[in-house]
Amino acid sequence: MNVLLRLANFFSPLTHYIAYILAYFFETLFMLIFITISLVAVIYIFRKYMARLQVRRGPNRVGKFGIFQMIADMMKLVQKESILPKKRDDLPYKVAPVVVMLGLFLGFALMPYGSFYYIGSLTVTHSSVSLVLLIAVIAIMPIGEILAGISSHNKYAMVGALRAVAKDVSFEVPMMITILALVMMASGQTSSPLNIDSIASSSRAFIAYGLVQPIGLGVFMISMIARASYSPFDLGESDSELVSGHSTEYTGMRFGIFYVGLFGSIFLGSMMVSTLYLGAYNGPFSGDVGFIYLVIKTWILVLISFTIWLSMPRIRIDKFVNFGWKYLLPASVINLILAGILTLGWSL
Amino acid sequence: MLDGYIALLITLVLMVLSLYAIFAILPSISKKRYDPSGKISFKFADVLKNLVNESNPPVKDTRYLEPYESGEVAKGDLGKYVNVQYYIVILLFALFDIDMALLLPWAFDFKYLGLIPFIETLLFLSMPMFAVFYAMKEGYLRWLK
Repeated sequence: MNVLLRLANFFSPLTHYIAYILAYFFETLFMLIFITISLVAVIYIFRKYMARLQVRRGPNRVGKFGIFQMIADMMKLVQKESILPKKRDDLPYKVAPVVVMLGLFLGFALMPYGSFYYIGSLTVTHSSVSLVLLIAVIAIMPIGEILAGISSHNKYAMVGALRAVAKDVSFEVPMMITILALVMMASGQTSSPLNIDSIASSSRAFIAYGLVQPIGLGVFMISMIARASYSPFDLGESDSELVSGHSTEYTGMRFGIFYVGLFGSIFLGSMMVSTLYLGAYNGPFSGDVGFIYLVIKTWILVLISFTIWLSMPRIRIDKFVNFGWKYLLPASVINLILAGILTLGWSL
Repeated sequence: MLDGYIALLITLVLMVLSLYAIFAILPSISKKRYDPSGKISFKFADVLKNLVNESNPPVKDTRYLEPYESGEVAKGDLGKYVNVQYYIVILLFALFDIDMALLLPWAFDFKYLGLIPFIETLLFLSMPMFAVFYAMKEGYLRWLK
């Protein structure tokens, strides 16, 4: 039983086709609402957590404990005028935030969410190659940032976009090789190892893939930190040298989209690590509360990410390129060899 | 067969519609620079009037629309040519990415194919690895060569 069939049953007094159309629409809508609420919660908790680490109080004016601060901020950003600079390239300037947001939400649409008490499986997209699709989709967001950097014709934005490209090319190859090792190991367990749902349910055999591939877990986590581009690796928008990197020329809600994209990629990265390497939704009674397990793991990883963000200094761009090609790449290849030996030799 | 992908399509359409709402409709209900007395109004006539930019023409002040340079007057332009320090690294990345696209079908059947294709793949991977090593020895990973 899954969410689609439940919704179709709910709408069954209407005719068959209308019931299924409404079911598809509402399952997607519920997913989007869940993700939107999660993103608002991520931003709120980040601000509270940062305030606590810096011995401040954080937002506490709008609503009890400031929980409506994010809604007030969104209203402010929406009301502000979007200043369109004179020298912009019009189409890419306007398309860039849309591309960032689309990449983010398509990534969330591909995740397997596990099952929840009465509803059953909450996964919305059923594809046998969803891992390949996910790799393709998470490569969309950097394109939006590069478009933003180049089209706004600002020196800071351009340098930020170039640095973001250098950062992206440094971590993406190790990330792909660790995913390759994961697919290799999953091919012994399931008949469709390119499906994220199959990988997640087959990780029951090892408790979690992170236990048999600790190097892969480390490399993938570092790649996700670099992909979301926060503090140790926030080379694209190093806000003490370049003003704000690629989003320098953006104001109003267009800037807000980039801001949400940053936190959203933290959340997506945490969800990907917990799905692929930390055992996803498996656990005792996972048929009833699997979704809760996934959410708890994701939030723990989000808090670890915030701690890393708030306690690490930024590293220099050439040091990061060196780190990516000299350390992460050999580590991921060693992980690949180990995964091959484990899969073939011990037939895990 | 393709019914698993319908959610992706709906996500795409909903996202585009909601982003249009955010960028075009929501700003049009708010207060405007050229109409300081106006308040937030959800009335259809006001929304329509704001959508066609009747009371708020685009700004003419050129200083307002200059590229941001920390308060200074922006001098010069980016120009046509930008020095990309990591051009060779980007070439290496393209090489590796094609490699990965070729290796995913092999990883799909890894357990069935067994040891010999595994060794062949490691040899295949060692070629771009050697390219990275060569680029490192030539000094392309440094800030200035």
